[in-house]
Amino acid sequence: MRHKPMLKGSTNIETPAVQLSPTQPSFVAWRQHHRSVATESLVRLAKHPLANFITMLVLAIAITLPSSLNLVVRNLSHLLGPESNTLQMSLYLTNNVSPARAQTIVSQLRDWPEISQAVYISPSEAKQSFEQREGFAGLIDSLPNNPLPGLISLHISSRTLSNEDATQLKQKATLINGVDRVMMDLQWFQKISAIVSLFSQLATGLTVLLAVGVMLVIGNTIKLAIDSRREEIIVIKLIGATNAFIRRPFLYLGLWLGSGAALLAVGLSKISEYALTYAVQSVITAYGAEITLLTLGISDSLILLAVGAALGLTGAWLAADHRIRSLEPR
Amino acid sequence: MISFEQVTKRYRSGQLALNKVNFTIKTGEMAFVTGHSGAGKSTLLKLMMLIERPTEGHILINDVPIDGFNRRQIPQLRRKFGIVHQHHQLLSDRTVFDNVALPLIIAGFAPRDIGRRVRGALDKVHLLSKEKQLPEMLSGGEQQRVGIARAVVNKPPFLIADEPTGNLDPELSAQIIQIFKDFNDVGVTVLIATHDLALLARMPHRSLTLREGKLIGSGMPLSSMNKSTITQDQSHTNAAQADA
Repeated sequence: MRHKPMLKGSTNIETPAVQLSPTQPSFVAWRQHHRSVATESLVRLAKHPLANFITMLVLAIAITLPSSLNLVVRNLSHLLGPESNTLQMSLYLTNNVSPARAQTIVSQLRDWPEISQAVYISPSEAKQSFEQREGFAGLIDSLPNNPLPGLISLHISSRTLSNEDATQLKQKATLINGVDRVMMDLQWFQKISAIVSLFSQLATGLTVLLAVGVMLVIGNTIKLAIDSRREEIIVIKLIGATNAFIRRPFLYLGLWLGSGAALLAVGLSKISEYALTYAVQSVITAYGAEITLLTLGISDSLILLAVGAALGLTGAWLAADHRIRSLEPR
Repeated sequence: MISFEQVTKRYRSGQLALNKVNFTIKTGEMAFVTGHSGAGKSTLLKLMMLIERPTEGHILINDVPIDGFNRRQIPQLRRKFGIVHQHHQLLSDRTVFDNVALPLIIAGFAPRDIGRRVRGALDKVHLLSKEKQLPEMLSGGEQQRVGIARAVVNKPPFLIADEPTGNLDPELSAQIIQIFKDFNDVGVTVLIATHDLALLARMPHRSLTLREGKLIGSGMPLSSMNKSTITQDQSHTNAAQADA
């Protein structure tokens, strides 16, 4: 609302106060205000370092739990799950198949959309690899002839492969001329998928729960901060402050709490990662496997920061909007 | 211009604070609202700034009825009023400068304008030297003057004061009233609620007298009736008296 100054009643007096319209809020002033409010909320946080650090630590733990579980799930599916391409199928060939015929079958198999890799392992190659294993050297030589059959090892691009598809694929492979037997450990595949999806659902549930928890804790902190500045809020409402203006420092407070907590959570995750990597690596080494663990990368950390900031901002908004509206001068 | 048309305010408790009040304060006028405590002075001021809403009747500020304003329109309305409270309502954790700067920050003034205007306002109330102090380091009269500086810093067209001299001795009261007069002299519409009758008697200004929520008088104080200013003010008074 903007009305023209009424000057009828005042005849000769100068009226600068009435004629001067207030400067329109400029972008510079708005930006400057944001900057000073942001700094001011940080300073307020720093005034109670211990209390605010503990709050942030609680929030950080709440953020670390689901993010770590998500990391575990990603590692599991990377190591064991369908995405790792570990679903293999072995076609054992009959003894009368020549290497040339075996190669024909291989190239035929490569045309199948489900097959990502097909390798022929001849009986002599199989023998070699068998003899490399400890305690088996010379074992096959002691036999009258090489009992190992030729083998085609298949990697199945199983990202979209359902259990029925896998069974059908197995049957289709059995029908190839020269194939003696088809081996595919479907049960293992199914068990791992089930476990991975269980963990992933658990992680999703926990993420949602703890995200709500983080917002509630931040909201409560903001409520307390608003209550402690009750008088001030009423005074500035009286001199024409909008709710958005009053809300602003509290939103920044939520933003700082959320991002601070997320930063701490990244630190906590990194610490537990270093502690765990050593233990996990020794297990892996004991099993003689060559596996690299997925860790919290830079992009993950940035995502975590963004999520923390968003949760802080949302929690603060939900708490502040209602609370500030209810504070009115009397 | 501030107009009340048949304004009634009944609180939820059932208390009738104002009963069919009519008056008009013209732009550039200086007037007082007087009456015993509980007569409805504060309610009258609160209604203008929409701290309370009228139960019946209309309030017009510069011919715009404000009683239908929604929540978002209220801040803009309040920025037109400079408000001085009896309990100055300064923020104790901010310096005099920061307190006075608040209305400018709220209204979104550019930083370079803020410093200039704040010092201008502090200069008018003779407190330029105290800008870096906290309110509690000042005397009662000085705190009240900081309150006035804050009220006028964004050059509002209306200056409203609720018992501005309530806690002050007569000499300080006179000083404070003089500051209000100075602003009135440059065109600011001034409305002061007070029960300080001795102060009123010396003033050649109209006073609206409230008793139990009713406007029972709207004229010049007796002692100034025979002064020359009466002819100018008579027109305001007649209209208002007719309404009452």
